[in-house]
Parts: sequence; structure tokens; C-alpha cells
Amino acid sequence: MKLLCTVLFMTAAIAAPTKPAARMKSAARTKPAAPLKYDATLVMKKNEAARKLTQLQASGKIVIDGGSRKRQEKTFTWWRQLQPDGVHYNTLTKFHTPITVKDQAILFLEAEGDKTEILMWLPTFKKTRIVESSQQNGSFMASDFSFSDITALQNEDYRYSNSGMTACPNTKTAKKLQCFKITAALKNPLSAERLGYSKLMLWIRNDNFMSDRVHYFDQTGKLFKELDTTQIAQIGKGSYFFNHLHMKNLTNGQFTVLEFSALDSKTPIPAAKFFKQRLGKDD
Amino acid sequence: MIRPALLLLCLPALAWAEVDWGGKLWGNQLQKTKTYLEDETQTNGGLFLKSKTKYDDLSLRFEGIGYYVKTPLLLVPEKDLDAGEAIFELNELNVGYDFGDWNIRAGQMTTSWGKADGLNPTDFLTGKRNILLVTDDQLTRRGHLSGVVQWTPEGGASAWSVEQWVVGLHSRTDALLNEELTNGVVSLEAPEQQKRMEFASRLAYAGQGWEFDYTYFNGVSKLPLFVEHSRTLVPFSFRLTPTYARQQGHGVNLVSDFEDFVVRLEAAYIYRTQVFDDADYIRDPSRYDFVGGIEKSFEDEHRLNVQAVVHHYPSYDVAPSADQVTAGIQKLNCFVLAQHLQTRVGYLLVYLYEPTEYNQFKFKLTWLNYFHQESSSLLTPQFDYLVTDNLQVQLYGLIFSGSDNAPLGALRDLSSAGIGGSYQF
Repeated sequence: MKLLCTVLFMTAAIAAPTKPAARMKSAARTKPAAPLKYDATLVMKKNEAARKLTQLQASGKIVIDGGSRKRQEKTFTWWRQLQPDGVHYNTLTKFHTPITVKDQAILFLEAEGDKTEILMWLPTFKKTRIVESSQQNGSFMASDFSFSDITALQNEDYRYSNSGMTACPNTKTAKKLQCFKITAALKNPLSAERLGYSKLMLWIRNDNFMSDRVHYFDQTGKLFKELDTTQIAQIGKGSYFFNHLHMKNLTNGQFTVLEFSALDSKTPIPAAKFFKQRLGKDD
Repeated sequence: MIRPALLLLCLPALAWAEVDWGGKLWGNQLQKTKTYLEDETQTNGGLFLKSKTKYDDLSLRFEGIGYYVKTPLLLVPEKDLDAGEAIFELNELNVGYDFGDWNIRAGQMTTSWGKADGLNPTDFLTGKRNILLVTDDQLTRRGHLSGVVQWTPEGGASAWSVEQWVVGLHSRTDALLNEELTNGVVSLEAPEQQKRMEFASRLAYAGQGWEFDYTYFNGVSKLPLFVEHSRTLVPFSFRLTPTYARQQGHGVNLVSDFEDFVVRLEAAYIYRTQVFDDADYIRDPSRYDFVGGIEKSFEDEHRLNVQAVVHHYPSYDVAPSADQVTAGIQKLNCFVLAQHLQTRVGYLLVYLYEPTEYNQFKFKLTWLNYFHQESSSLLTPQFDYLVTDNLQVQLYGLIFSGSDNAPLGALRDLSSAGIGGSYQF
């Protein structure tokens, strides 16, 4: 789930190149590092459109490694559905392996501002637990993704500014893609506390408007996490989804890889899948 | 009432769809802390199995436990735990069906009510397998033969939901009796029949960031009261029959997210509706139970839950008796139900440490301490090490302390240090 959210966030920019993008691209060929004028907010709107999905079901794998940790792999099924407001998502993650987390489920019910709810189903206790709001910046299933990394980036929460144009760090094609480099500062200090970071630096690809790299800065302004998206799948016309994410904790060398496969945006997902009252009922 | 044999008819249905099996093989050895390595407290081990399958809107669940337990310290009806007993119990074998707003389920089922951690006074339907001195809640929860109808309006989308339960065979909680309590002269008869109906209704509301539920219960106590069955004078001894008194109860739960922490409140009022004719072993023992507090996480690695615990018996009164045996039974019942203390006040602290850097380790400390009137406590430190994804080793302790007159202090002989292992699949 976290991965999905992160992916969505990164893939934010999408669709056909717009005039600013095209201009930048041509400019980048001659002067790769030249700061170009573009509307960062507009780019992020395109990013939001690019990662917009009505619904998606996928198989997921999360690999936790690095530092002094023992390597751990967790598999899960992931369901995401756009809410009727067309902005927020409901997301359900249900774990299958390892056996210690089998059938654990985490339900994300996104809402405006700080109203997002996260509920966990603990099958051993047969109980649902509300995750406190302040814990949304906490680790998602012991990984380097936080709960809030899994939810979709909401443009209304950020103030975007243009930080230039640069070669995308992760594209491995012969012809280097250009990325819009955008700084995203949180408008509300309380949101910064809840999300666990003060600002983001995003590299948004100019071909599909999905993010290529994200830097996370903690509340003191220090860079502490780096997210790279190396694989992006096209789900529909102008819709993309990250299916390989690599989050690195720059303070301790730990990292987490999140992978999605068997992406299915066609099979209808019943809305009941995301009802709080139904959480754990299948167990 | 649904007969267990009928439930077996559901088993062929397991072949219809893919069946999801899982379980745990475990073993524990506990040594008394007072006489370390001289005398064992308990040896237990067994196999816990569960499975579930789904076929369209029909679902089937199974959960069973087979275990061996040997302990020289506990007295349990019909079991010679001193020599060791192998026991099989069915926790779940039920079938459920979903249709729109409604869900029905029938068969042997477990429930887990209550929002507090560790102590759940509103978990009216659940009996506990207390003779297993383990820390795993999954191994101690007992099932009951029941039917339930659940209704969630708006096709399941409503914040409201209603449940109605009917229980045909209720579950039981083992009363922990040791020789100190029974003075070596008590033996137990088979418990009375469980064929006493129970009813429970539950109304729940799940708001944004908060949840509330109210439960009404009309059934029987899960802990037994003992009545005299027979006595012999030479040598002096008497036999007791565990009985399960009829009672009613009201329970409420409230959970709310307060940004930095989560508040959980759970309260129950329980009153007996059955009076024992012979000798009034205990009279009018209605009670209020409250467990409530806050839960908070710190830096991903620490989780702390601090709860206040209050048990209040407003009109506890033991009938005067000239008969020493009856007085003794009264005293025993008082201990089992901890009613001799009119009000008990304490706290329950649960601390969990899961280091992110060393993700194979986990430490949990549970401390239940009553400080009002006769103080007593139960401290349970627990250290887990994950050898592989499936294999886990555990070191734990059960440390009872307090005076002989206090409910936890009276169980001091059970204080133990244990080592165990489990393999999950």
C-alpha cells in the first residue's frame, strides 16, 4: 500500500507533453542544467492526473533490507479505489507471508486535511485497531515507507516551486529523459508533524509526468529518505502506476523495495471491500 | 440449537474451493521461580490448526486445538493434570452466508469483544483456557456453539451495525485453583451441563476516528461458582461441583483517536439473576468493571498502553454460616471471582519494544497491579526471538505477588520462568 501511494505520488505527472514540458525538453538538449521557467503547480496537476486510477488490484512484495536488519520479505494483495469525490482513495492491503503477518490487513481511508484514517486488522486477536493520527508518519510494516507514504499525495496540501530542469536520475534509456525538479513545501505545519517531513524535492519526468525520484526532508530540513522509481506501468490512457519502488533511509543505510505485479484495473472491486465494518470479516 | 454433528456435514464443502490452512506447533516448559529447577510448574505443548474457505457468499471456518498439559499445581475437574492430560477442543467449525446488508453465521464460534488491551470485561461470550500458562491469546480463547445475525444497513456501508447472538452451549473459563486455596482437601466433580442458552445483542457505530459499541448480555458467568457435592469425614475431604450462575450484563466500548494517542474505554455492569438456594454461597454479587486508558507509539519501536482498572462490588455480602465447610467454599468462591475485595483499583501497563534495526527481536512487558485494599500483581515479561520466518523461541515469566488474601497474591505458587518454542505454518 505504501508503495502504491508512493508510486502514485511519483507518477503524478502524466499525459501528453504540454507546452511547458515541450519547451523545457528542447531547452534541456542544449543546456541540460539551465533553469527553465515552468509552472510547478501545473506540472503537479499533470502528475496528479497521471496517477489517477479509478481502481486497481495488484499483488505486492515488500523487501526490507540494509543496515543491521535481517532481510525480510512480505507479500500482500493490494486494492485501491477512487472515492466518489474523485480526489481521495481507499486502499486495502492484506498480507499473506511471512506467516507472522498472515491475514493482517491495513485499511487506508483518505480524507481531506488530517482526517485520513488508518485501521489495522489483527487476526490473532480478532480485533481492529485504529492507528493514531500522529503515527501516520510511523513505519509501515517495519519498512522504510511510512503509512503516509502509502497514501496518495494531495496537491492541496503543498506549495510547489520551480527548482529547475535536470536529467532524470533513474531513467536508463540511451537518451536521458528530462525531469522537472520541483520543491513541495507543506502548507500546514501540523501536516508536517503528521507526515514526518517538512518538504519534498521531486523529479517529475517530462514524458509521462510521473515522479522519478523523491527526496524527503525531515522537520529540521535535513534530507533523510530517497525514493527511486525504476519501473512504471501504463494502466490506461494517460494513467500510470509505479510497480517498482526503492526507498532508502539515508541516515542508517536501510532500504525497502516495493514491487507490484499482476496489475488489474478491469475486474470490479466491490465498494464493500473498503467498509470499516467489513475489515477482517473475511477471516 | 445446532448440534455439532450437523456441522460436520459442512466439511465436504471444504472441497468446493481452495482451502486456506494454517496453524502452530508449540511447546513450553515452566519452572517454579521459588524453587528453581526443583519442581516444574507446567509442561504444555500442542497443535493449533485453523482453516477457512470461501465459495461465493458462503464461507466456512475451522479452528481446533489439541494439547498436552502437565502440572502438579492446578486442580481442574475430571482431569489428572498431575499425571498429564491430552485434550482436544474445537474452537470453531461454522458456516456463514453474506447477502447484502445481512450476514448470518452458525456453528462453533469464537468471539473477541472489547476494545481495551489485556482485560476485556465486555467479552461476555468468551471462556478462557486458563490452565495453559501461555502468553498467546489465540491459544487460550475458547469457542461456543452459537448462531449470529449481523445487519449493517446500506449494503454494509453504514456506520451502524447490529448483531444478535444466540448461544446454545456456552464456553467456560478455567478457575485457577492451587493447593494453597483448596488446602489439599478439595476435589472437583464434573462441571454442570453447559446447555444453558445465552443471548447477546450488540449495537456498534464506527465514526471517523472513533468507534462506539453497546452490548446487552443475558447468559451465564464464564467463571464457575462451587457448590458442595459431597463430603467425607475420615479422612476429611469434600467434593465440589463447578456451576455457572445465570447473569445479565451491559457493556460499552469507546475508542477515539486524539491525534497523538488513542483512548480506549471499556466498562461493564454485570448482575446475577440466579440465587443459589442451598446455603447462599454468595449473595448479590453484582459488579462494575472498568478498563480504560491511552495507547501511544514512540519512534516506531516503542508502544505503550497504560490503563486504569477498577472492579467494584457495591453490595457484596457473604451469608453467615456456622458450617466451616460452607464457609470454606464461600471463601474459595470469593477468591475465584475476587469478590472478597469490595473494590479493587489498579492499573494495567503493556509495553512493546520492537527494534527496527534488529527486527528478529521483540520484548513485551505486561504488568497488572492492584494497589487498593489488598495489593497484588502479575508481571509478565516476554522476550521473543524469530529464528526463521516460521520458527520462534520465547522466554517468559509469570510473576504473581501480593498477600495471601489478594486474588493474584494467592496464586504465588504459579510464579514461573518459562522457555518455549513455536513453529507456525
